[in-house]
Amino acid sequence: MDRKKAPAKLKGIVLHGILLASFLLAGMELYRNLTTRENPQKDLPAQKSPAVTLKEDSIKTESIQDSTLWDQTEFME
Amino acid sequence: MENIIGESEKNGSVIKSRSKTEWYLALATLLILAVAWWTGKENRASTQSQKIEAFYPDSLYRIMPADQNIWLLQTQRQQDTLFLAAGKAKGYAGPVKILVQYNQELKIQQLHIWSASETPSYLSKVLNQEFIQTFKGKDYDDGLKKLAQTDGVTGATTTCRAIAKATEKASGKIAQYTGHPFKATRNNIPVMGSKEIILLLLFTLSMITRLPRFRYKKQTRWLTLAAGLILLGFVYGQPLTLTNINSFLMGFWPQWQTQLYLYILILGMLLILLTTGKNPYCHHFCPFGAFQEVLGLLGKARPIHLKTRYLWIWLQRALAWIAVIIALLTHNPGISDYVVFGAAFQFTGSNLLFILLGLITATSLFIKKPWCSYLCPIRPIIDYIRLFRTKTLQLWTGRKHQQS
Amino acid sequence: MGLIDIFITPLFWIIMGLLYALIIYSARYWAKDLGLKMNWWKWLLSGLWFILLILTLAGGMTLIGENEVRGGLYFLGFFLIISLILGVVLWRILSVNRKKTDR
Repeated sequence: MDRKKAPAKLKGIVLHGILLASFLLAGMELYRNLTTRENPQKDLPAQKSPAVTLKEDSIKTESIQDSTLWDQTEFME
Repeated sequence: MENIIGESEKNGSVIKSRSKTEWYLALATLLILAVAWWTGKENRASTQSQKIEAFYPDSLYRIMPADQNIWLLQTQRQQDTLFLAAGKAKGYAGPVKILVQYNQELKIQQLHIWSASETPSYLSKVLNQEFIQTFKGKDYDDGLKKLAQTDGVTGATTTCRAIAKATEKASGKIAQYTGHPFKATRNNIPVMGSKEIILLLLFTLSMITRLPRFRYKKQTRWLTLAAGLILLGFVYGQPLTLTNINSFLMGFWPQWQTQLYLYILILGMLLILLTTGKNPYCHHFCPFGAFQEVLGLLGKARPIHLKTRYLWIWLQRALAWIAVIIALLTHNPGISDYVVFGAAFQFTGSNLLFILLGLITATSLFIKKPWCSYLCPIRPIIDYIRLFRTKTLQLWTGRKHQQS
Repeated sequence: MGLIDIFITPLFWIIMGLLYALIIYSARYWAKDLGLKMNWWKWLLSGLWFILLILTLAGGMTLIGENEVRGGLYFLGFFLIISLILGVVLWRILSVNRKKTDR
């Protein structure tokens, strides 16, 4: 009787082990995506450009923090 | 006899209380999803304005806003004034925002990805292939339209086109600001290509096999499975992923003119699910489902009946639910995708996904469709929608019954 | 890493070679014990599958031994899965008309 039960028991253990390992891998992938922030910057070497003066009135000198960087409505499509 | 009746009554009451618990859980989930969606949206809006210093730190650069999404840039050493412009376009999983640096002659010097919602493996594939290098030295209107229409990096076409399109938009703004001529690419006309036609055919065939008198159900099902595996999986590389569903939930709807396939897939599935309660995609032409079926055929796979099956089903649901919540909270559709489809059909993915793919492949030889039964996030979402459909129908028929 | 150097030591491959020789020698008896009705093309298929397995192990382990651990693991992983799938197919072919022996 034990010889017949043992393979079935082993099969159950193996199956549960496979399922558990699969869930762990999926969970680890989720965690990895959350914690690994891909650096999206790929800097190209800067090129030297000839100096050109711009008209002073075209430059607004308000600080960066005060300006609205993204106009939400512009990008609504 | 009395024992049997008693046993079945006990089972019946267990099932009833279980389905009640499931219903309350489903309602609670809906509320949490709505809160997560709202929170994610608010968080995203507040963090958008913080990042330009990450590319151009104050210690080295001086940045001055010039116009909407245009800045003037000066380095500490040189007095040259360069231009910065921001552009945005729809990628695979959401908007791709880029920041472009131009010199005085409006040649592209640098391109930064400001933010992207693409699946990390696919974005790093694009970056590793140095696709962005192709923009270096280009004039503001030179070949960008062409780049927006080419494939770019194999397997990440949509992302590459989005980067090119966003660069084109940034160039348009700079051209307008500096008074240079610029001709924008016209909006694409809707494309009904071979992909879309094949998908419509597959939906049609799957519905035909449901007809009671149709004789060739088995053969047709194998035909649709083969088409799904070869065409949707390997050739087009576009199975339904969690990223697609998250994108739709967040309102990142892709351009329907160029992504008609996704609209047909998701809306077609929803329509059939809500009207008939059936899920044609998973059963008839899911590429990875077909992959497992083929392996199962080779190895004579059988479905397993575990006593702990209920636990594993709920684990599957919990994992899918967590993944969707994370995506909503971070407002990033691709961040929590753990499906192995990219690894299987396009050899794109992390080491963990490849290990998981190997495990699922080996297991599929002996167990029938283990991914679908125990891990796939699509199935719990389908079950979730079906539950609401069933409840609605019950309420409707209950009301009709009362009226009559 | 000292541990991965084992894959490029001659002794390791001598032992592997001895194992392969033992397997080839015992194949006849295994086939008999399992009740398989073998003929020339079944032996040929089994031989080809075994060569695939040997080359997979050799290639992967050598890569690991040469300090290309990631490449070696990818190589092993990919080709072992292929070997497993083909092995299952081979078993289905060999076990047609199989006589189940009493043990």
